[in-house]
Formats: sequence, C-alpha cells, structure tokens
Amino acid sequence: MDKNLVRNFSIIAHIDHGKSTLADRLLEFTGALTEREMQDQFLDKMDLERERGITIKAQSVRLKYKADDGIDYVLNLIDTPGHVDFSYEVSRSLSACEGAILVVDATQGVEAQTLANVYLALENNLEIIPVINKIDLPSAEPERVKKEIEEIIGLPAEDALLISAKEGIGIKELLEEIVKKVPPPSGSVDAPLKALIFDSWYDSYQGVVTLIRVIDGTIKKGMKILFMAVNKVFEVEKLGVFSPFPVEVNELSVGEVGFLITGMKDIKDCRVGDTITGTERKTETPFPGFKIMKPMVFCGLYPTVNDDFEELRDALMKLSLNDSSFVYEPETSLALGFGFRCGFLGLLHMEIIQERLEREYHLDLITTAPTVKYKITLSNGDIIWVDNPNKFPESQHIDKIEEPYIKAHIHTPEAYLGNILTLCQEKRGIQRDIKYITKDRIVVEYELPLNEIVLDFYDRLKSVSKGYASLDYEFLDYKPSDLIKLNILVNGEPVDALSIIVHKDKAYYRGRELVSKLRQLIPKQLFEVVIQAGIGNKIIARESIAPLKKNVLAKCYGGDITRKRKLLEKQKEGKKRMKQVGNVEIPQSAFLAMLKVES
Amino acid sequence: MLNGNYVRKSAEIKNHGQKLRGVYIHIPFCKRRCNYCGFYSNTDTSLIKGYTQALMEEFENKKRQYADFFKAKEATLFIGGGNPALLSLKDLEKILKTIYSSDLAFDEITIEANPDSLGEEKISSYKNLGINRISLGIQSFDDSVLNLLGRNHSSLQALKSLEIVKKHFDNFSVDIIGGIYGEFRNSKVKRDISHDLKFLAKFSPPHISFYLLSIEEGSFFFNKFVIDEAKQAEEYNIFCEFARDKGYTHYEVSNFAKKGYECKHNKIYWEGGEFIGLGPSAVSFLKENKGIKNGWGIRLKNVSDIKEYIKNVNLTEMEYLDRQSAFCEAVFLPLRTSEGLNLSMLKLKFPEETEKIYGVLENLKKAGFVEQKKGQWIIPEKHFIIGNEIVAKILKGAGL
Repeated sequence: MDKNLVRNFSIIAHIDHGKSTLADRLLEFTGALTEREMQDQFLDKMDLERERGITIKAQSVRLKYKADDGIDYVLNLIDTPGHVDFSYEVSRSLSACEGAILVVDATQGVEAQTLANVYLALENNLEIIPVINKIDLPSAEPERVKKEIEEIIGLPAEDALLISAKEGIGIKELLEEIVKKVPPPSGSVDAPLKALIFDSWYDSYQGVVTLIRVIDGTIKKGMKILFMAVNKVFEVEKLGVFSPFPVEVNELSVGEVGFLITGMKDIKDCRVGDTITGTERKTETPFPGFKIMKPMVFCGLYPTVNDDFEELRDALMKLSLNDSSFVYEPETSLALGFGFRCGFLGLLHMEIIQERLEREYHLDLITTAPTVKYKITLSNGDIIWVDNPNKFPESQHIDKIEEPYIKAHIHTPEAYLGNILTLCQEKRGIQRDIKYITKDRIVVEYELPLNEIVLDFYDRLKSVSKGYASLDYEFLDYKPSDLIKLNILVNGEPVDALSIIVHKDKAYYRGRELVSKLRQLIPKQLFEVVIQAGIGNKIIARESIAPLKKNVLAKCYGGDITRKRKLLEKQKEGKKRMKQVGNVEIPQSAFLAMLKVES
Repeated sequence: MLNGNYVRKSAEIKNHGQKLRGVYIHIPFCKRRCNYCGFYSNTDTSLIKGYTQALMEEFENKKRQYADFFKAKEATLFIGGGNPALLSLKDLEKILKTIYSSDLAFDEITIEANPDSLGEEKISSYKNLGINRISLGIQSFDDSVLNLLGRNHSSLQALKSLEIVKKHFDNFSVDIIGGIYGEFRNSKVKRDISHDLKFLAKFSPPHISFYLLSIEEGSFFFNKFVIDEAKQAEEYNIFCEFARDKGYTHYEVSNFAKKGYECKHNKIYWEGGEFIGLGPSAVSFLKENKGIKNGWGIRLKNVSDIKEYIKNVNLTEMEYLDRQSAFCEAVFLPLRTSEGLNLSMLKLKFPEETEKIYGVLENLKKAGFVEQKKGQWIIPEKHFIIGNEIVAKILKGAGL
C-alpha cells in the first residue's frame, strides 16, 4: 500500500468529553459499520469499559475514506486508554500515530488529563487537530474553550472545528482535516523491519494477539521475527487489520497498523513498547522509549468463602494473561485465610480488576486497603521492600523507611484553590508550583506520598472541588518518611487484614477515625464487639458495638412461613458474605473502611 | 340451628392419635383496617354473601382434589381474619355445616373475634355451632393505645367482651400488642405495658398471644413509625417474667398458655404439619396426598383479592418446596417453640445437613444461645427475641 495514502491518528480527550461517541461517528460515517452493527461506543469492547465510559485496552480500526480530492485514503484510528494509571500505554499508542484529534468538551473546557495527554502527543511530534465537542448543548461556550486551548495548551484554536459527535455535526469536516493535516507516515519500505507493539491481549483460541505499527520495512506471513526487548523469536502466523471486524492480510508495510498472531502463549513475552524486527535483517535501533511497567499499588484479594480459593487463582491467572502489568502471588492472612497479594498500576487498574473478578468470574471478594511498596533499611543494613503491612518489621529493627512520592498536577477553577491546598497539606504534600493558566483556572503542582493518594485522595479531591478539579500524576522517587504500623483489634485479637501503614503524625487521627467507621460498618452481633486501634502495645482508640437486642418475627402462622423462611435465607446469605474473624462476623466493606470518605 | 353434636368426636375415629391436621378459614372482612395491619382485608361487607358461596365451592374443590387430607382423622379448625365475628350466625352456620360434612373429626375449633362485634347472644351461639375456643382481639386495655393502633373498639368494650367470653368459654385466648416504643410522625411514642398486665392478671385468660408491634409493608405505619428495638426487648422480658409468674408456659415466641391450653391448631404450623387454608390469601401446606409427587411438600396460596376470589376460587399460587427450603423450615419452625428441635428426627430426613450443623450448635451452646434438653435443642426463652440471628447462624453452618 502507498504509505502516502495512510493517516494514523488517535483521539485525545478527558473522560466524558466524548471520545468514544466520536469514534462511533467516524466508523459510521466512513461506512465501516452499518447502522445495524452499530452498538454505541463500538471501540470500548468490555462491558465494564462501556459502563464506566473508560477505555481500558487500546484498539485500532482501519477506515476507508474517499476525500473531496477524489482519492481513497486509509485512516487508522488508534484508540488510547483514558486514565492516569495507563499513561505509558497512552504514550505508546500515540507514538504509533502521526496525528491526534484533541477533543475538548464545549461545556467543560480543558482538564488535567487532556493536558497530560496533549503533552505526550507533543513529545511524540504529533500533529494536533483541536476539536470542540458537544456544541449542541445549550451550555456550550466554544469561544471560551477556544481561548483555553490557546492559553493553556498553546495551540492555535482560531479554526478549531466545532462538532457534536452525538448529533453527527462536523464529522465530514473533521475527516477532511485529518487527510489534509495529519502527515503520512515517514519511514522506509526498504529498511529492515521495525514495528512497534502498542497493545496486546490473550485470546484463548489464537494465543497472544499483538497490535503493531510498522515503522520501517514490511512484515510478512511466515517470516521469522524477533521481539527485541525480551529477545525471543517467533514466526508470523497471521496478520490482519480491524475494519472494524478482523480481516486477514498477507503483509503489513511501512506506516500500516494491524494485528499479529505468532502462536505466542505468554503475554509477558509481548511487552507494550517493544520493537519487532526480522531475524534475517535486523534493525540497528529499536524504537525508543521502551519501559517495563511496574505495579505501584498493592492490595490483598481474598475469597469471602474459603472454598473459592482455587477459582480465584484461576481467574487471576486468566486476567493476567491479558495484562502484563498486573501481578499476583499467594499470601495468607490469619483473619482472611488464603488469598493473593496483587499489584496494580494504580487505583483504577485495581478497581477494574476487582470488578472483573466479581462480574465475569462471579467471585465474592474481600479486598484489603490498598498500599504502596515501602523501601525499608533494617538496622543490620539490609534493604527490604514491603508491600503488605503485615510484613512491616518491628520498629526496633528499622533504620530508615522510604516511601514512593509522586508529582501531582491538579487543575482547578480558582474557587476551589483553598480547599485543594488544604487537602494537599493534609496529605503531607510539598508544594512545588501554583500558576494561573487562564484568568480563573489554576494548575497546582505538589509532591505527594503515593500512600496518601491510594487511600482517598482522588475522592476527596472530587468532593472538595465539587468534581471540577482534575488530577494527573507521575512517579517521582522514594523519600525518607516517619511511618508506623497501625493495628486494629477486634475483641482483643489483632486482625491482620485491617492493619495499615500511616505517618506517625496521623496515627492517632487515623486510628480514631478507623475505629469509629468500623463501628458503623460491623453489624450488631450476639455478643458485644470491641474494636480498638493500637500502635505496638499501646491502644489509642476504642469503640464497642452493643449486642443485638432484637431480631425475631412476632407472628409465624400458616400464611407467614414462606415469607419468614425467605427472610431467614436472605439473612443467612448476608452472613455468608461476611468474614468470620474469631466469633465476629465482619462485612466486606469493613476491610476498605479507610477508603470511605466523609463528605 | 346446628349444635355441638354435628362435630365428630375424635373417639369415633379409627386412627386416633395420629398427627393432627388443620383447616383454616379466612374471613377477610374488617370494619376498618388497623394502622399496623399489612394483611389483606376488605371493609365492604356487602361481599359477604358471594364470599360465603365461594368459600363452600372452594371447600368442595379441595375435598375432591386432596381427598387424602379429608379422610377420617383428627383435626383442628381455625376461623381467622379479618374479623370473623362480622359473619352473621346464619352464614357461619352454612360454612360450618359444609366443613363438618367431611370425615375429619375436629378436636379444637377456634374463632377469632374483635370485641366490638361480640354480644352475649353471639357468643353463646358460637358454642352451639361446635366452636370450643375463642381468640379475642383485645390488643390493649388502654384507650390511648387502641386509638394509636387504629382499633375499632374501646377498652370498655374489651372488658365487657372478655367477661362474656369468660362466662361461656373455658378455653379462650386474648391477643395483646406490646412494645409500642419508637417514633411516629416525629414524636416519641412510649406505651407502658403495666396497665395491660393488671387486667391480664385479673382475668387470667388461659392463653395469651403477646405480639411486639412490627411495622409491616402495606400498613399505615409503614415508613411512618420507627421502632425502638431495645425498648421492645426490655418489654418482652417484662412480659415473659409476668407470664412465668402467673403460671403460663411460654411455648412459642409470642404464645403463652396455662397447662393444657396451648393452641393445637397453631402447633401444627410449627411442627411442619399439613393444613388446608380456605378463603382469599389463605395458605395450604400438603405433603403426602395423591398427585403430589414432590417429596418436600407443596404450599398453595389463594388469590388475595376478594372479588377475584369470588370470581374464581381456584386462583392459586403453588410453591414446590425444595430440599433446602424444607430443611430451612424444619430447623426454624421448631426452634420458635419451647419444645425445640429434635436432631435425631431431623437427621432422618436431612442426614448431611444435620451433620453439618452440629459444630455451630455446640458453639452456640457454649455461649448459652441454645440449650440441649433430652435430645431436644432449644433456644432458651431469654434468647427467643434474637431467634432469627441464631437460626441464621445455624443455617449458615449447614453451608446451604
């Protein structure tokens, strides 16, 4: 195929600014999908993605478009994941493109997330086409948003297209703009093969399916190829493109985007960002920017019913087939029995995995509070990494504790600045910068311990800014910190799954808060339940739950029996979903008590 | 006019001594609906004629369909409501004549009645109709309570009717509602039971049903009255103590009787026995009749709407119990009674499930929430009030 007729582009947008709807409209307009095949938000494959309006896995679609100049072009739309946890994946998807459509909501304006992705696009030298969406809404303010794009992002926006993806307004103009403005791929067809991996997943029939962008040369069926970073050789079994349904092709040449199947079984061999080359003629230089993504957030996942352990193991195994950045290993808890310590890129990643386990595998899970990985220097000089509060050494053996910090960029309307500064201060943040990007919008830069972010920072940020502030962050480094382990005791017994690592200055406050939340979350039982928080041997907070006073139906005659039985069965089911710790039944929600925000 | 001789004497029955079976007749008419009542009832008494006819038709149908049930055996009859005293003696006689025509030998025949509908004549006529037990819906001797509950009678009527009933009947029961504590329309409600206890002590009825007020869906109180459960629990204990002191046996969560005066009909429900219910919204439970293949029994529920019922008495919902439901009932029903649960009997029917609950029972026994007396497992009286929690724990233990 003539590379001059190819246009590779992505869509950059904040959650809810209409990326998926726009993608649907493009598919529809170019005839890739008939109306009958049209399911809203076609590119968001998983139910979960559709419901949350977030793209989790990148997709790519080949669209055919006859432009006004009479020429048939091939447009490859490369979808990108839309959340801070997946910024590396986003950067890889973007580097497979020459252009990006920047979608900004005409009612909301530029958000932190958008900005972060625009920067990624600029780093990758992408041609950016600004588009203002939702102009059909009465509250649309296209002129204000244009000004924001110019002032905040520094892009000329005078001629930004005004569209409504929902109503199909401006779609043709946008397609023309893509053909005119996005440069065709560079690269040489004669050079040795160089292809970038920008996504992959596991298919139970085909094995690992890899999405690639050919940078140089040509990849052909039957060819022997080398995955450079993992240094493994595979043979090309199948090549194809999504248009949007998979269509097999015999080769993909410079500038093209498509899928590759090699019979590879282990997704860990297929790293996003890795470069594929031929074994006979190797490229000199792999595509730059390859990184192995390491999990940053950890939690314990336990089946509510111990018998489900094997099922949970199988489900985790299956999910990890599709997700090389998700890790897990077995662990045991005195309170919860057998389970797994799992590592995630971030909180959203964690929530998504949890939800998929519950929804797709029908598992009832108990999740322990998320934690980060601490670097601890012991008094004997050894360095250990701890991702589980229960493995936290006794204080007398600790010489130094370091915790991960992130750099947070928070965009907020001026009105909420005070609240946000207070929140960041409370979360042990170090202020780095505050600047006005427009008359009434501000970017705040803070260095914050990741430990505080994983607890409730995001929810708190949303609540103190009425949802207007947005957050983007990147990992910074490890910094020394004064941390201690806070234990929770139920009827005198420490419950390991409830203990957390907190900063010393906050231990008392957290302890009291946690104990009072647990008091609300644990239902009354046959006995009195005493909940305490302690540091070492010292108790710092205590609450008790009085025993259950009444739980019986007064009347039970012939006509009441079925109703009464159903009630008991419901009550019993409720009990089954609780974890028995000693003789106390603790509901799932209690294990995430510290995440509950007081608004 | 019928007289007591119409009722078969149990001595005439060959298989005397077998498990009792119950017949329940629902009279869905009320002069007004009480504020706490979530049951189906109708205040349009002009429907009584059609209803009586329909009831007799249903009886004949059921007799044909479940012939085994109606073979000569000892049985109980319970006419409940609503307020059955709203039936004219003529209508009642018609109904009873039909019921008595079966081969069942009725040992205990109860009628429920509200104080405002009972005169001396009616009460003595009941006796002639074969009725030998009256359950009187007193609810309270306190006018402010009767008013709050939306009852149609006064404390004076309560006293009067009680005197007459006591004069004519040796076996009778009174219903009392207690535990009236909480918040209703943003104001505190506090109604002490002590006033009622004085009258109960004075009349010394052989049987008392003491119900803690509960807020039912569909009742006037629903979403308006918030109950103070701690106060209810306190009052329940006060009542239990009173009853013990006066020589009553607390034989079921809400039922107290002098020796020999337990309600035989109600015991059928708690022992998992068979019964036929007639009338709108009435429920039947059958286990071993022809045409019932299901080993765990079936439960039938008649249509609730009285007009629908009159149109078609066969509008019935049918529930086939499965093993799990049958087990659940076999555990929770007897645990409501002072007799308790017999594990050896349970094990005959549910060997695996019974095996699984031993552990929980032992643990609960250690903590005093259940007791073991001569092979019977019982919830001690002081823990009746948290019976659901205890039973749910036992059922969870069975791993169902």
